[in-house]
Amino acid sequence: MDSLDNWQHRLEEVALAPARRAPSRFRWFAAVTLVMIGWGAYAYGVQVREGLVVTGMRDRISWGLYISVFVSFIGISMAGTFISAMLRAVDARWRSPVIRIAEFITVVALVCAALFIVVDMGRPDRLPLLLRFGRWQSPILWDVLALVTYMMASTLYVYLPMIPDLALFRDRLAGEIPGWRVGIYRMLATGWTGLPEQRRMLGRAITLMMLLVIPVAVTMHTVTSWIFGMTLRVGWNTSLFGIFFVAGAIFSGIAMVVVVMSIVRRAYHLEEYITSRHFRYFGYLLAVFSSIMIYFNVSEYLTSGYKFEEGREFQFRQLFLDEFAGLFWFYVLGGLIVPILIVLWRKTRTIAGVVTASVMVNVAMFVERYFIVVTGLRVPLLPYAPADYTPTWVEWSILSGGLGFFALSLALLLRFFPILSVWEMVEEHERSDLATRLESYPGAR
Amino acid sequence: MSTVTGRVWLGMLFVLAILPTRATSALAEVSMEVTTTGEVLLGDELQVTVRVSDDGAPVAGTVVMLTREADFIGVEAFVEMARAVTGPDGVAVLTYRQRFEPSGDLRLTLENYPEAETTFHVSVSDRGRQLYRSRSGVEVPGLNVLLLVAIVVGVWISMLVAVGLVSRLSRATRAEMPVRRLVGGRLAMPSVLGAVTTGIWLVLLVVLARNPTTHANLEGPDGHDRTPHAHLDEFTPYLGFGIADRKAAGDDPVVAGRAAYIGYGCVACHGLEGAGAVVGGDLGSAARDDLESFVRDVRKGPKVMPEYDESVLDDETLALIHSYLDETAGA
Repeated sequence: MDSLDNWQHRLEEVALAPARRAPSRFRWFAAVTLVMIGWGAYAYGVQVREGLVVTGMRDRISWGLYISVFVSFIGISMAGTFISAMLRAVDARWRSPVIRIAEFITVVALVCAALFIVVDMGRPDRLPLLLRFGRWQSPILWDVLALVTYMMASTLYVYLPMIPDLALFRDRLAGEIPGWRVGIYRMLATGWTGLPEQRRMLGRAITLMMLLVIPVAVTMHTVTSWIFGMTLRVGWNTSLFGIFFVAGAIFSGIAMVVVVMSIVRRAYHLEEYITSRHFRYFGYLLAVFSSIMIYFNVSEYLTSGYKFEEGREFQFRQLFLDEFAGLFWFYVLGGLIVPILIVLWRKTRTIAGVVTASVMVNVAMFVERYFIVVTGLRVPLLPYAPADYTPTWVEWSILSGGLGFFALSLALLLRFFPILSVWEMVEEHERSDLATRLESYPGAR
Repeated sequence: MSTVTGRVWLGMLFVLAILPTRATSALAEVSMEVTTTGEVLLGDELQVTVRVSDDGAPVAGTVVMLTREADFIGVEAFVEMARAVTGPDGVAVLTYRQRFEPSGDLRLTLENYPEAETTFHVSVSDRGRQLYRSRSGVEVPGLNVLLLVAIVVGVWISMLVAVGLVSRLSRATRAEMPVRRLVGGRLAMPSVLGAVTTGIWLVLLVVLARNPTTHANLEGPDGHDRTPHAHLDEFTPYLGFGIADRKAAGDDPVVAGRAAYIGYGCVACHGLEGAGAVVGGDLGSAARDDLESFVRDVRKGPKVMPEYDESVLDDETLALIHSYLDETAGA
């Protein structure tokens, strides 16, 4: 076995490597995402000039792809909070190599979610009116409060555990990278030298934010569901929505972490630290939340279907049999049942298997948000023929721009900031190393 | 045995109930004395107290109806607002909620005395732009905006505490850094974090604190929050470019017609390009008609379409819309 010093040195080198030199295909990746962003920006320009009439949201269906994307990004943002804070709270040791990735996903996804709110507005110039005339009786204002609070809390929560690693960057990269970048690391590391008193302060701050960020995240996802649940719409008329959204958010958050984790593992050669064990554990989590989602779906559709109040028939017909049946059954089979089977069957419980399951979950959860939004608005409230909605090229283009922005921002964070939580991994390694040595020590038993 | 007694009692009650009305229906000269404030705030309940008497003697057990004259697309009718039965003292109390804006006369009639009728005037004040007032739900003490404020205050103070810990951490450093420089100073990060956190927090608190004073929240005499109709456009008229802006459309009559077609809201019922939608019909045939009959139709408003007179939509604009429709729907 390696000596501790060697192990630590190797780990630090791996963590520092991306900041020293970009991986081989980084430029290509950046170019592709920039093209996506540019195309999305052009489409948004068309939308601002022409109005929302260029989208599919012209008739009675006033929420479509954008709001589905917003809900999806909010859901993905649960990744960092759940995986990092929850696993930290229960002291799951295996978490350390992956928490930074999850926390970065949270911050970037939240920024994207906020952007898509603005994109959905036909009159973005009216955004300040929300602050001027916002009403505390309105779920929209609750959402703004929750989103702003969640953004601030998760930014702090990403930043705090990164301080010791930023100090590592500050000390080790000096002279190797341009001075201004070292200056930024120096400022961000805020004078960390690893003194016992500093460790104590940081520990307290991290614990405080960990305890805070979990309820704030739950609030955020619940309030997002209330934007729907507090509205008089047949499909959204359920008290289950709050917890349904929270569970769905954790579910898609885990799936997104697995996907990003697998890409980063390849790109930055982290095979030693992010092992098949991590994929397996995330696979188990995925299976657990998949069954929770199945339970919620059965509970939701059985209670409302049993009573079959007015409008439900229409809602069920479009969802189970007609227009949205393809999407719905793809969600049930591809997003809930198949992932469980993949994880439960030993032969497919591999890295590739779990990543496949996660990709399916990501797509399925986006599809779920889409049909929740659109079918909810489609059930007629007046005796007219139901409206229809199809996203236009503008909406798809802006979606692709948003995905490009998400990928590029995440990649930049992972490239320039500590990708691994080095100090936590070292601490954990020391602990396990000590435990092994104690065990092999004669007379230990 | 008991059911028989019950039935006898019920029968007697029934007779007692209809006796007075039967007995008085033959008499005339019934008068009503109305007591009311005469003014009501839009969305509020108005209480009307009526004392029905017959030569000074109270008339009990008669039904008093409160109606309002209304017309809907040319059909005139009296709409019942409330009804109540007079008590032994001949007094009935009627309440109704003022939902509509116009002040006007209300009419009181008695069910058994068709000739007895009285009207009185109610002036409605809308106190700004009140349109509709919803009933407040169950009020649980503490489960209101105070809770919202408490959560916002608690969470953000905790975040400030975390920032404070970062500041203490920075001061305990052994690294050689100046203290007060904004970039690269020892306290730069805590200052930035503190300023951002405090700034956003204060904005949120100001938004919440301003809430009762913005036009979106008026408090009625009984203390409930109101839901008025907000005209945000008064504050931010749409001056930007876009399809509904005629100036941006330039000289092309078809493009300008499209702008007018959307700007004047034709699109809302008749759909894009006049192809027809749920409410409004296909404008293809209207576009193929000559301009004169097109203008006549718009002015008159066929079926349930609102009438657009000269003051709203001038002939020149209508010609533009016609040329646009001729190009798209009529083609």
